[in-house]
Amino acid sequence: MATWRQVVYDTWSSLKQAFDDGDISISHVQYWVSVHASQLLSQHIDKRDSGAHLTEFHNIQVSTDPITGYKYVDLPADIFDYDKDGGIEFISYGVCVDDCTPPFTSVMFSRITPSASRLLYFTEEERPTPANPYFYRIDDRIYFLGLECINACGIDMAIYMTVDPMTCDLDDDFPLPDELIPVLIRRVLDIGRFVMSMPTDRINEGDTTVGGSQNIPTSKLISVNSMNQPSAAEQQAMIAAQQQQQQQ
Amino acid sequence: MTLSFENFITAQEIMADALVIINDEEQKLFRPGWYQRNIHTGMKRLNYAAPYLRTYTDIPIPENLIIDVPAGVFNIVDIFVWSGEDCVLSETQRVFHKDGFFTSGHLKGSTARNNGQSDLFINQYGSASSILYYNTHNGSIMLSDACYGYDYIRLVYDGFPKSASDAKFIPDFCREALVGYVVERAFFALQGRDLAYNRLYLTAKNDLYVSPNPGEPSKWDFALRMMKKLDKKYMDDLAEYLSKMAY
Repeated sequence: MATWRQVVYDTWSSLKQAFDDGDISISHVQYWVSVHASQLLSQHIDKRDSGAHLTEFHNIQVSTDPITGYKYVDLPADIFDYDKDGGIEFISYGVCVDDCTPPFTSVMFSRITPSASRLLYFTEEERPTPANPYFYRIDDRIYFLGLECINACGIDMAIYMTVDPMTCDLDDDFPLPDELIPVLIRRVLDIGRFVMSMPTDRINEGDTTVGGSQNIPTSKLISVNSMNQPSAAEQQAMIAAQQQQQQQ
Repeated sequence: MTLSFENFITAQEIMADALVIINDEEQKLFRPGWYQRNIHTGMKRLNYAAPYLRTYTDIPIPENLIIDVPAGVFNIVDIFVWSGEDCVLSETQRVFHKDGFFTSGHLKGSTARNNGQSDLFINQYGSASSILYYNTHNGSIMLSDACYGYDYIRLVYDGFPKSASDAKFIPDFCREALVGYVVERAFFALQGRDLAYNRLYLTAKNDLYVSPNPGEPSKWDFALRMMKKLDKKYMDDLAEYLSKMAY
């Protein structure tokens, strides 16, 4: 598996910017790589039913909102915003309920939305209880229904995380399958090429002045109040010299 | 119908089969409670058509002689009153139904069309003052004053067990019918999200209710037939009993 350093430096050197005064810095390339890696990874997970990119967090402490009293946990990382909160693969209790079986095989939290949760209380089978709990997401918080009357210590959660653009350690494994790296590098090179194809936007030629750049004086402007003002004869000589230059 | 406890399966076993067919192993199309509720609905439909769970319960007779019908009861088969302890029953008496009998409690009087007169039906079983009778109203069983003094009422009924996903309450031969029922309900509901499910719904419906071959019952009919047919000794004894006209 490739590392961040291999991917980033490969791309950076391919852009021919690997020198001190280059317009595109290594951090710039790293940011592009992480953003595009996120997009490719999102598409990859969406297409393939695989646990290769699933990250599990254990024993996340459940908090209680001091104002509303709702039970919640904060998402441990940024997740892909798939349809119906698909970025969360599962949430379960953090302790074994049955003998010897992993917690996520016993009680799973079902996904619901706040507006649809009212329906749950209409039937006995769907009513939120500690044995049949639900979760819903608001912003980066996961709230729970059914845990109101118990002290749930910790929960387990498996999520599909985005690629963190703030990754500092370049020697970490790159979070994309090797077969997608050529696609990623091509995309980043396209961006770099696009950026470098617009040099004129980065030079101020004064085109916005009245009359254009032709009216910008080419000789030194001298104030009439200057102490070093030349004499009339000197001024005439200078004007004559300029006229000669123009005629030539 | 007589079945060993080992011949019963849980709602979870039905779900395990149905979820694979619906392609919802992760239970994200429908919530777990939805599946559980439909399994119970299917089992209730079968049970109403062919009651399979005949059981009884003993309830202490209260001072006012009015008893709430227990949860799960949908067909009262018989009522007795008795005294004594659980292990030794004594003074067992049968309680009869009296049409239109209403009372608000012990020694508070009662109303009925033939109240205070000889009842053409229950008079066959003794004098009017000693006859034990009851009527049901709004989920309550009202007993006559003659029942006062007995300790317990024994209710024999066709009922339905309280829903629990891990309780064994489904006869094994209902498995295919219930799996088919849940699948059919799921595809029916999915039509509201995407009409492409219509074909799957029709397929599931045919699979459940239509006979696969001439002479063979459909899955649903098979379950119903089995619920009515099992218990050969009961059927044989009943036939002999009726043939002797000894009832």
